[in-house]
Amino acid sequence: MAIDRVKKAWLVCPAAQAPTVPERLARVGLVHVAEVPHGEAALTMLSADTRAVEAQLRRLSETLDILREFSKTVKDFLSNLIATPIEATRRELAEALKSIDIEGLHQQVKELAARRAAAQAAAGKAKERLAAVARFRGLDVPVPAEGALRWSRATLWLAPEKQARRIGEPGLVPEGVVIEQLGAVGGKALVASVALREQAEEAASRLREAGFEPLAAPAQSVALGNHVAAIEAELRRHKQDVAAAKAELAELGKLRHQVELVLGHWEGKLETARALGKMAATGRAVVLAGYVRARDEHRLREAAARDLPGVSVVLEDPAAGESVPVSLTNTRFFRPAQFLVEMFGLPGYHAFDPSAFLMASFVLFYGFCLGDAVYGVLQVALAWALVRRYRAYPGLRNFFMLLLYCGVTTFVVGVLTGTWAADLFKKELGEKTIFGWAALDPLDKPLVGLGIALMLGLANQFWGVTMRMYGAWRQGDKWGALFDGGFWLLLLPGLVLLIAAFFAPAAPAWVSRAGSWLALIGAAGLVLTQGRKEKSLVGKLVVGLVSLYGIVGTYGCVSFIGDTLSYSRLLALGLTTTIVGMAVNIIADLLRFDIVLIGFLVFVAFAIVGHLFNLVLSALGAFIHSARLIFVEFFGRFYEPGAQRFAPLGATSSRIRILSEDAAANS
Amino acid sequence: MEDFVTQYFLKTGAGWTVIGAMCAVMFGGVGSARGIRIAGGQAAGVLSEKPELFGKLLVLMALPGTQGFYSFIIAIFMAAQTGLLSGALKVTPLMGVALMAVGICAGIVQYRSAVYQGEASAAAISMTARRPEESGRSILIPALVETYAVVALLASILFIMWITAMKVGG
Repeated sequence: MAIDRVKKAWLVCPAAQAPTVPERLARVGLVHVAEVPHGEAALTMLSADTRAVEAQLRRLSETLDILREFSKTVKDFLSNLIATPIEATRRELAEALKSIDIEGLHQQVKELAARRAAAQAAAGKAKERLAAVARFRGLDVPVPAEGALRWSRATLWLAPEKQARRIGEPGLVPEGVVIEQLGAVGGKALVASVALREQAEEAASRLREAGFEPLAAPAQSVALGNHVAAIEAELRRHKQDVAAAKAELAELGKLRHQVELVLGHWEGKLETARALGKMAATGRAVVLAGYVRARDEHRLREAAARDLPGVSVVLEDPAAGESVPVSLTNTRFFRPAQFLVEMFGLPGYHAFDPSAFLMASFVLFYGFCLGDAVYGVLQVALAWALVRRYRAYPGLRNFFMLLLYCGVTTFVVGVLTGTWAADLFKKELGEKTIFGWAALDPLDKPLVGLGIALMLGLANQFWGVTMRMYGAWRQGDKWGALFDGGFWLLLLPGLVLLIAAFFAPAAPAWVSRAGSWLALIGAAGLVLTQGRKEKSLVGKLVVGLVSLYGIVGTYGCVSFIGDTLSYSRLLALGLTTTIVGMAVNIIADLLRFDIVLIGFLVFVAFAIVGHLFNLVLSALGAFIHSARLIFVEFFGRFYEPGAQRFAPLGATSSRIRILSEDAAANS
Repeated sequence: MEDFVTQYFLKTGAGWTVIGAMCAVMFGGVGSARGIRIAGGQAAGVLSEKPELFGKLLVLMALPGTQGFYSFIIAIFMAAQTGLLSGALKVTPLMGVALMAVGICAGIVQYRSAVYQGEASAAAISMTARRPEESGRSILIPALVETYAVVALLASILFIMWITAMKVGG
């Protein structure tokens, strides 16, 4: 349950060995490579030419983008949420590298995709032409080819029937042009025009302006029926071309897994190539800076002796203000909460990992937002199945485990509020069963529910301030812990007691008295300490006073009230889930018509679909808003994210995960 | 119709209260929907280039949804304090009109703050797209806008309590 301790590593070797060091280091997989600080005297940064690797990566990415369309997997949806590397053994990777001809496959896939797109476009055009003339296929009319007549030009036109009636109007076409309606079907008319060659352009232009569309002329004059048949044949041909290209791409899509493996391998190569550019050289020696987990120090020394001959390794503790990459290690129980911390941003190396401290709040908030015993059971069952299904993927496993914990609190809150698929079981089995019992029904007493939501908010905000104290204490700033946290823990509860006394005049007198004293001591402490960094006495006092409001300093009364009221969403979301569930039950009940068995089945089917729909939507809202309460209201009190993730060269890839042969056999 | 008006608008203030509560819900809901649309549009643009940021942008997209909940709380509070929920109605026409004013004013604040928060969220989403490691800090920018939605919620709750308590005296 902590941020892993790391050591700063300096690897020094003769200049001649430099090009091979990153690759050998990637095989060791323990060192996060960092740039050698520019301030180091007499060092020249090495340059790395990554163009060839980047070109290969571009080809692979393009290939994969096209193949993805033809080889979809369920994981595509999940991998949008959480990085899910694909697994392979070293042997599988080697086979993939051997079997995939990157350039050849890229060329082939791109050609097929272009062929498919061209055939699709041509089929679209043929379809449009067919839609225009197909209705007239019964008419015994010839479709003249372009230039079929020597002195004149004959053209067929399509127009709305209403427009076609205008063909008798004078001035529609130039004098001497013959125009005639050949037939009309379904509101569209087929019209023929014959004009002398010198008049043809003028006639065509006027007819177009009047809303007539010319039919594309075939290469040779044919009967209209044959013309339609020819377009149909053309359309069939284009569709066949599309299908053929699609089938070939689908066949190549079977290589997707191998292509992804090769892509992951080349991404690793790019990182390795870039590592060379982070190294610096003196005249004869080259130095590489990095970080290694303290627990891996021994393994690094062993690996260096074995795999990096000629390379000296020097390890030291990171300096105080240094930007150190962060790696978190939590116990199995708290690991799911690490998912939230990683989603928000990693803590600084010298701070602390809040995973364990936020988990209870998050799952409790989620339970309040969803709060239904049946939904809780369903969520636990589903999350458990998914944890087992994705146990090999740490990101997904942690996410589903978190949902499992949330399912438990959802069940508990559901039981306490008497919510079992809203009021479904209460209505069906009666009020006197277990389903009719409730410690508190928030629909009956929403103000009590609001009070509980706000109490949870108060507790969580106080917990956040305590975390601030803990953070300062850990860094040896004991006075800071008291000034920036302790005084707020006096002032804020004091204010809460005073507000309680104001709204409940019947409260015992000690509530108001205790509130006054706590608020007074806390406020005095804050006024005297929050401006401690100011130089003048006036500055110290002014900053101290303003800090009570919240513009400067570590917290503020206004922020505290705002943060606490924000927790009212717990009640709003909980009520929304229940009310939508009740609406589902009412509609399901209306569908239960008189035919006993069928009516009951329709009722059950609708209730299941409706409640699943409500569960999915409400769970999404519960997750987002619980996360928001943690990220904004809770983290706002003490947490500063922004650290870089610890990513050892050669060991981490968001795309592939290399398994040992034994692990692969077991899975 | 005359009976309805007499019953809900002249003899009691139930009608005015319902209008006020629903105005709060309407303005807050529409504002939240618009705010989320603004933030969501920006996020969709970013995600088309950087799908791996989905987790970080999810909360930013949802931030302007808060005003919808605050409005809902105001409506529930009005209904609970006036006895609309329990059926024991205790609201005079004058109190109803006052509550309606509270609902409309609070609703307008919720509406505008949700839209502004959507715009601030869109800016924060751009910041996260450029510097993903700053996603935590970027959440604070739109969260500041929400302060005034909270102030409106708080003022509404206080006024609802004062207005409904006034009945005892007069």
